[in-house]
Amino acid sequence: MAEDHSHSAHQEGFWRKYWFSTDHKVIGIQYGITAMLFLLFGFGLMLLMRWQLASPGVEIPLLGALTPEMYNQFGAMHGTIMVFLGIVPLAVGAFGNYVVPLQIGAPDMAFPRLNMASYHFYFWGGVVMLASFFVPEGAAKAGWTSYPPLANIETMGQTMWLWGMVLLITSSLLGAVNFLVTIIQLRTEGMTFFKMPFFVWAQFITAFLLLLAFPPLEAAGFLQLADRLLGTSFFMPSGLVTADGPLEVAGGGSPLLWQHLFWFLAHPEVYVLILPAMGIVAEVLANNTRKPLWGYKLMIYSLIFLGFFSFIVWAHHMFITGMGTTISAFFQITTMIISIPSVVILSALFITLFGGSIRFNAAMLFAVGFVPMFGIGGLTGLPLGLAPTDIPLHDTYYVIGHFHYVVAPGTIFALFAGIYYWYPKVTGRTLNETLGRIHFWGSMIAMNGIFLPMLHQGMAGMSRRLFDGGLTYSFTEGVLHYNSIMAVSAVVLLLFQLPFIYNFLTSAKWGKKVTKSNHWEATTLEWSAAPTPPIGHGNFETVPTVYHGPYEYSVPGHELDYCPQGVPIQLPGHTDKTVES
Amino acid sequence: MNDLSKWMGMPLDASGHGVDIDIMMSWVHWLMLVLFLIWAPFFLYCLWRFNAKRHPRAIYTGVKSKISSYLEGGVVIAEAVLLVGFALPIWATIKNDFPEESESTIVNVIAEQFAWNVVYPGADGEFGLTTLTKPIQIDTSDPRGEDDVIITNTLHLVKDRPVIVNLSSRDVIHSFALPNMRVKQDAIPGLEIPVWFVPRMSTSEFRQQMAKEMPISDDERRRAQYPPYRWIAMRDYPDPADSTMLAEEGQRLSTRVLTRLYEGGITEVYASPEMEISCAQLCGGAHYSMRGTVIVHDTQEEFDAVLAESSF
Repeated sequence: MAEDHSHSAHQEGFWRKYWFSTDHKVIGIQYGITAMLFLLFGFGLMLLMRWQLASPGVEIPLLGALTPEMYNQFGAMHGTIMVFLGIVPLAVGAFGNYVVPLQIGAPDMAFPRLNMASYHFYFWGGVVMLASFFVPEGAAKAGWTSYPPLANIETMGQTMWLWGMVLLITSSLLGAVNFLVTIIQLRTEGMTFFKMPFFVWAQFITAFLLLLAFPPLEAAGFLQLADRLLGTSFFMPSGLVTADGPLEVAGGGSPLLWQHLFWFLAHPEVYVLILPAMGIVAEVLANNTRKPLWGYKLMIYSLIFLGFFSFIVWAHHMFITGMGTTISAFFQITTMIISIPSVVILSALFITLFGGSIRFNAAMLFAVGFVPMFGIGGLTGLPLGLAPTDIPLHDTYYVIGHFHYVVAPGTIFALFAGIYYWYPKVTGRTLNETLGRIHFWGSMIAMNGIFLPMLHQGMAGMSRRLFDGGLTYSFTEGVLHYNSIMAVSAVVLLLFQLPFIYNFLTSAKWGKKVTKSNHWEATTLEWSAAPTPPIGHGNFETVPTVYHGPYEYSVPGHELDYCPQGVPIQLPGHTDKTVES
Repeated sequence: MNDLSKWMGMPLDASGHGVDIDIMMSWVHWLMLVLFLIWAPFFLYCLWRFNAKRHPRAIYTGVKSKISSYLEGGVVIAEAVLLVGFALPIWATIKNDFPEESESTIVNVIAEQFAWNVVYPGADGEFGLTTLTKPIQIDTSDPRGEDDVIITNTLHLVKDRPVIVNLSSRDVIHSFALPNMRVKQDAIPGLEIPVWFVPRMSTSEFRQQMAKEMPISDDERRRAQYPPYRWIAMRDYPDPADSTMLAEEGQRLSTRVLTRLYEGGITEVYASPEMEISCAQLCGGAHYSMRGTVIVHDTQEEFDAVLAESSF
């Protein structure tokens, strides 16, 4: 448990303090910086692919013309890196690690050394993934989904991908256990479950998802490794013939088994990508509308419901595999049901704006931008979740557009909101607001320039993962011109990340210093009780006590428009000073 | 109302069941649009009205109205209607209501990297064995296969005659996608999965319709004059589809073939649109070029003649 914090910072050497740290805040920063570098790298892969799609065969400076094999590598690794090495580590590893203990009034995570191990598994998982580009015939090229038999007969990069995934999954499992124990055991006095900030709830449910969904994929990863290295045939049926003749495998396996195991993880994984983002947006919205989160409890019940149901919708990714009526009916029904709590949460975020006193700072812009963009992402999931309409759209750019709306202007916007919101907490200095606004508007326009055309391309039937961008087919004729628009938008998106990168790097040293500890005049403990910038192990100078819910903004009868959780107040309609809201 | 999916760019529907899918697609998108159009003005109004400059002190209680609950209730009802009224019955028809075999064209489609092998049973109506070689061949030791015909990358059908495709794969997972027929089915090694549909439009009717809706021949001409340098890298990759595509009269040509013709001095190329088979599941390096065509003949006689011609 969180003992042994007696060593003060100055006694620790560089490696102990910055690399093998057991302080959740340092580990959060480690996660954050590593994940952002991976996001940038994954974004770079996307730029190369967009170049190829817009002008197939034209040489890329320094790299030359892409081959189909290179394109497939970039595609598979873009997906893998963005999901497993970028967004999840940033949303959970960085924000979760840094913010959750502070928001619940804990001195650290429950298992600090496990926390350190979790980061190092993640880091080495990333190194293995990157190294796979340099093995003979390059990285994995069977898509981020790694469907056998293709994945089984692919080159060495696929083996590296599997080892990398084993490390990443191990990291996530260790992290998930740590979050669960921390949130259950280390809440400070008065911090009941229904006084926890929505962000903590989101991380709590996410940890359950990670803990329960990842093991099947880890097992599946080992089975695929066995198929590749030990000659087993878990995913290989009999009678396979490739260009080199009949395959020498035992046979008798099923390629569909992999898909079930993969999607059993990968659908909850979608919620792992979304829930922490919703948590961040909820924090930023409540703080910048200066009013309580609308439907706080309803949102939490929806969150729990989402978490549970996310385990029984996975096969809606597999309607086209030949699914009969009974099974497809089950998965269509569960898919429609799971859309309802998502609608409830999104509605609550919309409604929170009503009656607020909205401060449009950079964090808020990204949070506000998240809501409609995630809305488009969610709505475009409807025709994919219903089997008949999935027929024309499955495996087309419509799917790509749909999930990119969810995770790019959706989750990534939320992550940006979180960075602008908590950067002063971490560094004691603020990010430049003007650069932040430029970053937001440029990203908003450019992202829509990339993802909106995808929906139209998909409606026209254009498949994903086409090296020539769909030129081979005549039915793509009317939507091919989008490829150029999307490439230009991708470059514009890059350009608008430059102000952010500059801002992020320079503000830590030269940014405006915060004038008070509670910079955003927030109610939650990380701002209202913990010092800014933070102190070392222990987090709080005195252990905070919580008296009321997390979003008591603009309480009638109070002069200040925020009431910190650690300060007793009289809430409207109550006579007891310590009742929950 | 039912044409929204068409306005949104879905390809011309040439199948019997496609209209149901298209109508459902339209209604799903109407639902999405209505929801978006309800939320967007509310959202923009809030951002404008409750800007801190206009509204310096927030209202603690916020919205008390039940409208959002009604809206959520509306979403539940709309989704239930889509599910029960459209999705379940349409899927049941597609999966269960197979036509009589005696009244259908029956073919085996065996996918491989990177081609569609279409096997026709011949006059005896029975399929013989095929070899484990690449490319796939008829096993001559099996008498049932003596009159079988394999045509690579072209699926011949007869207008209004149902077709049952027994789909399989010999190497990796492919996906048999016929955008104009509203058909998509993964071809999974180790499994033979039947798919059926009825082509309601012949290829000649399809071309006439396309000529009306899309000035494709002009566009093809434009593409035929693309600077060839764009294709230098792509030429280095053998494309199995090309061998079957070169210059059959009236057939649509891929841009690569057009470019080769252009390089050979033939700049006036007229190409006709074709119903196509595309591979929708990543299947390896040349996945992008795993293209086939669907030729729907106006009469059974025309179909028989083509098969007879192809058998030797």
